[in-house]
Amino acid sequence: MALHELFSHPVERGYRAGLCSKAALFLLLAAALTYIPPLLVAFRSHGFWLKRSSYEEQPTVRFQHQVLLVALLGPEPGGVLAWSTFPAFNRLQGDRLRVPLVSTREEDRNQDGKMDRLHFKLELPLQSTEHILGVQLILTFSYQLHRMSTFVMQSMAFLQSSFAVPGSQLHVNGDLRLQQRQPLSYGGLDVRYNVSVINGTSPFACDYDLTHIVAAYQERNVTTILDDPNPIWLVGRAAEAPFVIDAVIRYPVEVISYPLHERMIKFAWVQYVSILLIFLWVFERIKIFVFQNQVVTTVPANAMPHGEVYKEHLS
Amino acid sequence: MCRLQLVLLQVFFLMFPENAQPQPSSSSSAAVPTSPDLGPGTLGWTVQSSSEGTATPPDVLGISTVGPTLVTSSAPRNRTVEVFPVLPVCICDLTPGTCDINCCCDRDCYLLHPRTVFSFCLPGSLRSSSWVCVDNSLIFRSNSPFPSRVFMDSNGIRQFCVHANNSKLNYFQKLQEVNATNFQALAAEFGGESFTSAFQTQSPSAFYRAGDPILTYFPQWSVISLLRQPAGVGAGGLCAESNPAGFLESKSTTCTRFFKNLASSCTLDSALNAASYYDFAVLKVPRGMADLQNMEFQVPVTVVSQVGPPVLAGNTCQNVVSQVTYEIETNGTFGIQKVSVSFEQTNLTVEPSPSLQQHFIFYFRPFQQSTAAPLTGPRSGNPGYIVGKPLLALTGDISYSMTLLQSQGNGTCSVKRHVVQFGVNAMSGCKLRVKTANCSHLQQEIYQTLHGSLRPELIAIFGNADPAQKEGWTRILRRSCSVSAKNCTSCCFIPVSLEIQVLWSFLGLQSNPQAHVSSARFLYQCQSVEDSQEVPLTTLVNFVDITQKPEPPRGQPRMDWKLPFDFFSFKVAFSRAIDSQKSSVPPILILCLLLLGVLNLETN
Repeated sequence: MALHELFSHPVERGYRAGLCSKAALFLLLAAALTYIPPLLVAFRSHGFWLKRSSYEEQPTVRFQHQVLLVALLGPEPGGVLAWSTFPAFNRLQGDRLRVPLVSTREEDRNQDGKMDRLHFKLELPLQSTEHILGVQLILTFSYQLHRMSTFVMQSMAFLQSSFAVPGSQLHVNGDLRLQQRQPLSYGGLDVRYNVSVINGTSPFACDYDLTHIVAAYQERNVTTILDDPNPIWLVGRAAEAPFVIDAVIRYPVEVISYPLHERMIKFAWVQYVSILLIFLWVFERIKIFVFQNQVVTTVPANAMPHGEVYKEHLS
Repeated sequence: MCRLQLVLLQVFFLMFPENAQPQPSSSSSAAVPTSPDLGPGTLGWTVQSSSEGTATPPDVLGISTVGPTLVTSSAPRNRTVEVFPVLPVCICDLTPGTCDINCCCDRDCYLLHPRTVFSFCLPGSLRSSSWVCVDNSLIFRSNSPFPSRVFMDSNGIRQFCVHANNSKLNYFQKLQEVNATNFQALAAEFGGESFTSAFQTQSPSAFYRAGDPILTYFPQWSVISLLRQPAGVGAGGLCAESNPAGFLESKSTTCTRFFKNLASSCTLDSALNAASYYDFAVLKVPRGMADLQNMEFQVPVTVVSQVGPPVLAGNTCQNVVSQVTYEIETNGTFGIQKVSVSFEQTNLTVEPSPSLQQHFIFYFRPFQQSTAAPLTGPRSGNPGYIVGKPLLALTGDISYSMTLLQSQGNGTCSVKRHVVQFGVNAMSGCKLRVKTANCSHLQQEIYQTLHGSLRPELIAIFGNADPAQKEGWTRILRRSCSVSAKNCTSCCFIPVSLEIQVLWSFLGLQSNPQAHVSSARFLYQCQSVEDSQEVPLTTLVNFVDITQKPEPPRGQPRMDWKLPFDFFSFKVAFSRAIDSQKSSVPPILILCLLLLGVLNLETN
């Protein structure tokens, strides 16, 4: 009857030497070389201590139906027409006030409950002698992120565009992009910037000054900007036709960075252990080679099964 | 351990093969001393080692034919390949009887070694040969029977080249027979996109298809033209006169005209003259082009409105066409049955140089229905409202679009009104000049300015509401301001703003939702004014979607569901106890195996 190997297990073998022997020194060195280099390798290959990470989210954006428009007239210098949805601002304008026809529509194209774009159209009636050379327009939005921290802010899209020739229409098609100067927090509620961009209740002219509005806005660490590199101007306005601003503002998915505090040890640990496993295997082989071939002098103990005579030797 | 060392040794030799086996000419790195460059004809390569057999008799096209017996460059020799310059075909010999500069094969130069005189040889003046090259580092050993060389190309990369003498591969031998029959086929087979002549004639089709341009005929000049719908083009929005109108495409275009000298162009410019928009016949079907004398194929354009030719009277040009409306009745493949045109005319002042905005509107409608169903406006959806279509209101039996006020260029209220579009929030304002001192008259005038001459009473629930069926309409809620709020004898309490609030929601299938208006409300804001010349008025409309979305249809999670984008395709572990127990087995198993492996390593 032929015999087959049905089961096998490795045989433990002990090597004995003094604590101050070469063998002990070698083991100490091997341990140091096993555990420290993976740390160095992981650290030198960058990304070991991750300080921030990022995630993608489509923000919940709603147009707040607040508009501030300044139209620059030409060719005579100093001509301005203005209008806003703030009554105080309109009162300040006097003769320069010209009420436009504004129509807006927010569209949720994929029916996911988040708005995807804003259609904004403004028709500013003009007299035949008035020619528009430039436009400054502020639209305000409420901007919310929910995935990590609940971030609520009131932001704006500022459009400033001018053309050398008197225009009849201005077409804008751009994205409302998030700009982060610092990462958002990992969790919690963040309402630092949930303040209105334009103080619509103020009766003072300085609160509606564009330089003040923009300066206060840029003080924020998280803002939105209207990203449209090429606004299109059409010229050739008939005498009775209004000046038209036609804008499509999209609310795209944003990549938001956030800091890693307690999570960074997780990433470091994963990197360290994966390199350590290779080192453990290599040095195990080296140690077996060294002790088997008696490169360092030790007294080999006899092969013995687990836990029988072994304890007696120790005691 | 010894086995491992052996393996390492093998790997070492594999990585550095030069030490083990000699490579052809790899060691002969000495530069060629006499020849600075072979010229562009050989791509600037420097010959580092050469094989035998280059001095074979010259061939027709200068390609040396080397016998297969000549073996590789096993014995490299440092020498320059100096080809005798005279070639049977000398492509750079362009001036007969004179030596062409840098033309190394020009017999008029009488040079045996032209490179001593010329700084380089023109491409083609040296014997060219066909080398097939690969990077030298790829070649370990050449056992090709053909001569081979290692060249240094212009980038300093060594190339291993084999001289192939396959006459089929080296010569353009096959000539294609081209005649009148296969000319087009060959051009189509081998040619790609190329310039084409713009004119392509096609025979007139039997009937118009949707979008086809409509043909017109001018009998007094016997000219066939297209029915034009001038449209704004380019950044200037100026009128493109010859823009054709498309069959069955009801649409309106607007374009702008500027006049430098209206005094002369007032009567001469045909675009301002109404006659130029109806002084022709429209062809019923394009086939009518073939028989222009047959009046059966021609439809005259009838003028519906009163028109007159432009007249220059003093500083004004009167009767200038500002809007052209064509109504065309069609009958399927029988083509156009009736064409009528109506005009709106305006007066222009000659100085300063004026501009004019012209509107061109085309309506197409079926021939029979035109008489049967009078004056039903277009639907705003069928049944549900479509975003951007007019919001329908009803007063008495008259159905019309709800409107907002609009301001003129100087800021005062305009007669023109902005049509409220479904789903589009809008806001507008203007200044009303107060003419009357009577308070109740003033109030009435302002109410009319705010909501239009007709006071909307009902609003259409769906976009296809019929004025005759009152159940399709819902009453507009109103909240007027209380007039007698103050005891003020001199002041007048007037409305200054109207806010139209429309609540709407979706109905029906989720895949095909229909928008319907649930309710609408008119909100007036009032203010007391005392002796004011101008009253600023505001109207705004807000649409609020009150749709209650149904619960998404979700069943119980199943075992074979997979997470999206999952690499390991673990089973979905939901919070249900049984599921989670079952489904979390594989990951735990793998984790245990991993841990066992690590422990095993440690105990070894």
